[in-house]
Amino acid sequence: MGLFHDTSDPLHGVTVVVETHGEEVWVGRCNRVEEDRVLLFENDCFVAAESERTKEEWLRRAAMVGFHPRHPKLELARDQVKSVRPLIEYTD
Amino acid sequence: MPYDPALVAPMREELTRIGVPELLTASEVEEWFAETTGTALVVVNSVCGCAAGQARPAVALALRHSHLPDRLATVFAGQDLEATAAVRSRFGDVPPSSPSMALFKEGELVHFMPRHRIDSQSAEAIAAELTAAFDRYCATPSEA
Repeated sequence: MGLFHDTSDPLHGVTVVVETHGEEVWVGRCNRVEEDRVLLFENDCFVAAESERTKEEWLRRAAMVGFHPRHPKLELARDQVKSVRPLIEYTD
Repeated sequence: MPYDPALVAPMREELTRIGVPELLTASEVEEWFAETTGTALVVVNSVCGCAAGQARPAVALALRHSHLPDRLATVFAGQDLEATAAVRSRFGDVPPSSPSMALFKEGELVHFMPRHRIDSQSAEAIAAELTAAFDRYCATPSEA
């Protein structure tokens, strides 16, 4: 029982880490991964220049306790995206 | 904006019918947390079928375990806003997520399952993590 959504994307609803080809790393709830874009809801972003933590430390903490969703929605062009993996895979 | 109560009612009942009482107001939450003896599990329920659809059956499975928390409670995120905020204020610097589950011992948060450790897992896997926490924190010293 629950509110499900109209998608068969296996990552739909899963909290994922989106690594980009640049310095940004996003964490958020995956809506869908499409041929040309990745859609996330309730996201946070790691930007090295703005963080006291390294990317690895930031991801480790997110995997341990979660993250503050500072951005409600994100659409990333697929060619910016290096990988999309469940956040749980970053757990030690 | 909260969902239609009629839509949410069955999701509430999945937990209340297995003996997990709801906390509907901040004052009920405060009263529940005022008792700090022993162990206590609070489940932050959610309408999201992608995650909570596995979380609720997982709680039901876990509550068949031999070691259990002394007290149980649930709040419904996105519905009972005041109660949910009051519960989350007990989570320290843990970011809010729903569904989620928090185990307290002697009033201290000792184990937390945020949404991302629920949303990609089967009910059995979620229950396994919960029961491992029950074994660690809810067993008496001679049982542990």
